[in-house]
Amino acid sequence: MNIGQTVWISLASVFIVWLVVTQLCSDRLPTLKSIAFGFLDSWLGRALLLAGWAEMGWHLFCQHP
Amino acid sequence: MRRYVYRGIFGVVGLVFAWWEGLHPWPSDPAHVSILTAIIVMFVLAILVGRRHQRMSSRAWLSRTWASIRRPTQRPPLYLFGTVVWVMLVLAVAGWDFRSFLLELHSLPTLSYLIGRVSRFATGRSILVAAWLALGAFFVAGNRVHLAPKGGRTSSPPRDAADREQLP
Repeated sequence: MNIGQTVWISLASVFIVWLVVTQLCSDRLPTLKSIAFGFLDSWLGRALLLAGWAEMGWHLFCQHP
Repeated sequence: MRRYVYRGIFGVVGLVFAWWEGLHPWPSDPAHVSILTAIIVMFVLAILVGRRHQRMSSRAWLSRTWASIRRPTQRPPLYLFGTVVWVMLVLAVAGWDFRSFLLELHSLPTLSYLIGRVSRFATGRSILVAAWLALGAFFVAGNRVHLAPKGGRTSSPPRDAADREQLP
């Protein structure tokens, strides 16, 4: 395993652990869903998320093997 | 009841689309056209289902966001700490991805390269497209307000007639 893969696995592990922690303490900590809902409160935030989603799809499924 | 029927129909259509998309590799024209079509359809759906169902205006949302940035201490300290951790995680992922992209070394794969290792196979591509569509559907339909019968606003969807009859 090279350094890049090690860093990615470490980041993914921290991300998942923090996701679980915030979910378990959702009354005191911001969850990923609550942050997304903060954006989805208005047209502008929703448009920003959808633009990011569209760019991600185009990049992953049309530009890279 | 009707919204569950719509969800079911869109779910089945999305799964069939994801399966079909898996059959087409990334450089093909059908892959480009279909992904572009999915993006356009999602934006049109967002306009159709989101009209008059947003919780606040974009101006109010910008003001609220700006106020949160200017006075972060209005939130409880633990909530603030949680927000900082989320921001740091996003910056760490973006920063490492950008560094790997600039250095272009085999030992430093970018995130899209790693995802490409999965999406190059038909099944992996289908699963990733299905997940991507589900995320898009959440951005289209999530956190909308539903008009209450007397013109007020409620956070939960209106009950249909059958459900209402079962209430005490």
